[in-house]
Amino acid sequence: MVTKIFLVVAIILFVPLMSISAAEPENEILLHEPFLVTSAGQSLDAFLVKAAFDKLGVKSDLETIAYADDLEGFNQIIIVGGFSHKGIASAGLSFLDEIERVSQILEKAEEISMPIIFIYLGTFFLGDSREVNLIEVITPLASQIIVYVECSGPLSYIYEVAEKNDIPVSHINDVNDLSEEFSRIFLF
Amino acid sequence: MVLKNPVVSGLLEKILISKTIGKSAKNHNRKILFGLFFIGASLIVPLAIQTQINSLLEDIRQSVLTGDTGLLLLAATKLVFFNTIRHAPVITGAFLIGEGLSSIFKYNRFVFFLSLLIIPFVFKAISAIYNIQFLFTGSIYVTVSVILVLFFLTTKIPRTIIKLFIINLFLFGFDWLEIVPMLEKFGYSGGEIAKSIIMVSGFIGADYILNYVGFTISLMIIINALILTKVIIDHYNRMFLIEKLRKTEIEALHSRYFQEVKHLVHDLKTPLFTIHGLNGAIKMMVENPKVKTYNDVIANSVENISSMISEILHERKLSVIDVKEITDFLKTHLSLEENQEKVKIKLLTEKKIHANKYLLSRALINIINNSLQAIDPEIGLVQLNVDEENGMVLFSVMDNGRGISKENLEKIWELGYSSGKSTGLGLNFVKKVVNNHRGDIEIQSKPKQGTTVKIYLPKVDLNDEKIASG
Repeated sequence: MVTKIFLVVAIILFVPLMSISAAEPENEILLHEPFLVTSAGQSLDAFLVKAAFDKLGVKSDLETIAYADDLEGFNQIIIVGGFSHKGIASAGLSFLDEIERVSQILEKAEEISMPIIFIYLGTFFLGDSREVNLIEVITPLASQIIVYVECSGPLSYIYEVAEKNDIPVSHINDVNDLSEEFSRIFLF
Repeated sequence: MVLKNPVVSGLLEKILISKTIGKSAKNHNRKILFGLFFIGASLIVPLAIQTQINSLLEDIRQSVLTGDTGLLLLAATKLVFFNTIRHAPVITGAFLIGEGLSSIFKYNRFVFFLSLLIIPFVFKAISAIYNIQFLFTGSIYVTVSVILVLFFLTTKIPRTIIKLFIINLFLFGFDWLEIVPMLEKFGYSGGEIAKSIIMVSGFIGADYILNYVGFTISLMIIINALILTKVIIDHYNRMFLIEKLRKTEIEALHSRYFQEVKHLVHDLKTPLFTIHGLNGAIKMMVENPKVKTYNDVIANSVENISSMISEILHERKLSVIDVKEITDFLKTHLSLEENQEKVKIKLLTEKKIHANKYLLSRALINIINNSLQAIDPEIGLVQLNVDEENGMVLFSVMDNGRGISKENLEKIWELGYSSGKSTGLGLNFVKKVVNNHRGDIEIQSKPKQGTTVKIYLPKVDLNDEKIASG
């Protein structure tokens, strides 16, 4: 009797988990070269993304301070979110400049129907409201969202907006092995 | 150069000690001012190194793109240097202010601890001024703990510069640990750039190198700082021991000197006895009344000298005397002194006390002489009042001189302590005399306002007087 109960409980617990795992699509994002990688918040994450693509031998253009006009000639844009005090300061920008720049890129991408891939690693999130502001600007307009599952950023907000706007969300499990994760997520 | 002559090397050591002890009484206001200067400097440093920080960020970015471990290590090294440059003025300033304030207020350890609270405030101020996150990271927590331990261990060490050197050495050592990836999970590295470096080190597979380099260099610096602390503490302990021995030596010399004086005074008794005897013989032999009067004067003087000798020889022997006798003796003595017009004596009581007249007078002369040295030659005044207070006879010597600082007030009774013009035996002698008289002595002084020395002696009541006369 006990064994039967144990089996039933195990099935009840594991079946949904298996279905979630099965729901995680593999290579669901198609990358169309050439594509532009830019930063929203000037954190180091954009460089990590660029390095991961380089490691995979995928040609990408990194413009940390790209403007709307720079989208010309590209098929896709990857925006890597993450606010950095030091990054913003060293770029000679203010936060308002940065949020305006990102808004203009998003607007332009929408205008020319360019798919926006939003990658959020959240590796340096220290509870700064400016990072949350950037996420709030980008998330609703993204075509695809990729998040690092162990990041300390506002993931629940991202999931909520993604669900509401029917935006697919992919997960990165190991930020130190980003190229391996990208090879699983992207279809080149 | 090795000094083989023990006398010369001993003298040099004494000079070194007296210089060090002198410096220990340095002005706390100066420390606070320097502390404020360093705090001010700490607010400017982030601006001054902004360009270098940008170049450091570029190194990190390039190391991500190229996977260059060497470049990341260079960036980590730069970060440690810049962190120490940013942290050092805050730590130094807070320590100096803490040391300065703790020598002003009574609960010095508590005041010092409170002063260290300046550090988080300065961090907050820097964050607000530059709109950055200047965080109170692991290295600062550990350094502040070390400062507290050092403060307790080195309270007797007067050289602040040595303490600051040790503290900053520790800080540098602890700053190196900020780039150690192994410690990141314990929340040791809080800064954005340090976290970035650790993140990148994981990304390009440089964790092992950063762990190894960070730990090794940090350990080397911390061990050096520990050894230096031990050496310095031992060195000063040895110096204090030497100083103690020197004082004991002076005390022994002092005691030997008084023994010699006593022998000399004792030897005066024989010729005095001869004078007394022969004077009596002359008085019997002569008829001239004038000569007889002279004989009486000589006999009185011999008796006075004899009583003086016995008081010097038996310093603990107290007789009942009128306080007026003391003031009269002082007036006679002071009339021979330089600046005697600066000293005013006011007798406000006519009580009797148990006293060794000559020793008590010597003690009062000592205090008056100290006051005369402290006053301005033009406007200075020394006042001796003899009065009653709380059932005791009170001798108070007041002056409007330069006064004594709080830290020196604690040392004035020590044998060998001197403001520079005397032997350093005076007040120690005064205290001994007052103790022998079963009295109390207290001193109040304010720098630039003056000093008051109060000697309380028990007055003689009627019963005592009867017993004494009986």
